[in-house]
Amino acid sequence: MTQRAPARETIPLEKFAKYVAGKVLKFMEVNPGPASKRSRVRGN
Amino acid sequence: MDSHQSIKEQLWIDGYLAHMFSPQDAEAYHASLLKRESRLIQWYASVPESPGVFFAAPPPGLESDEPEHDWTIDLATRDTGVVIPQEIWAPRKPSDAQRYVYHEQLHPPIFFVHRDGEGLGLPVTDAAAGNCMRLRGAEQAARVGTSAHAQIRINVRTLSVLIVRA
Repeated sequence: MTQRAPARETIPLEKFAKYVAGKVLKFMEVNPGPASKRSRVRGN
Repeated sequence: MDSHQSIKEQLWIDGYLAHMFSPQDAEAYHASLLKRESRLIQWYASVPESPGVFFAAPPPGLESDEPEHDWTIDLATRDTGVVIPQEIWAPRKPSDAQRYVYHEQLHPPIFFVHRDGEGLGLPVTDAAAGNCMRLRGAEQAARVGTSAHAQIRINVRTLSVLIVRA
């Protein structure tokens, strides 16, 4: 799944984490599986 | 054992990226994408019981004036909970390899570290509630560079577990 983030110069880590978390949660919603029950959203 | 070999083994055994991708892919990530081979990487723990961080000086030309000059290349994962395995993204076309791998210099990974400095990652409950303020440096600018856009790629690897009964 590839998503484009909104263009901006700087973004606080909290907002970036929210953005990534939103995409991961959406992915888990569309692709339910064993991992989704115990996952933690990781940044890297 | 020399320190370089020791760091390499530490990265393979304790490195977050080795747990997430694989030791081989993590090594390729460090060396090819971050341009920081294991001989350039050092390990540091603020307290003896801390799993510690792996860090390296940025490549020439990417140094900054910020107080935290060195790059955090990887984190040690002892007692940090489950690491969800993923597949590292790989270009499918030679032109993509040229554009995104050979001619690109990635910035270091962004780890979601808790304010206590010990927890890693964002619990699903917090993510669902949009609560990301428990992260260390939540108010500070994320180091995502100044590009016009970012792409989030999510790869999931399935695990096969073989149970052998005596």
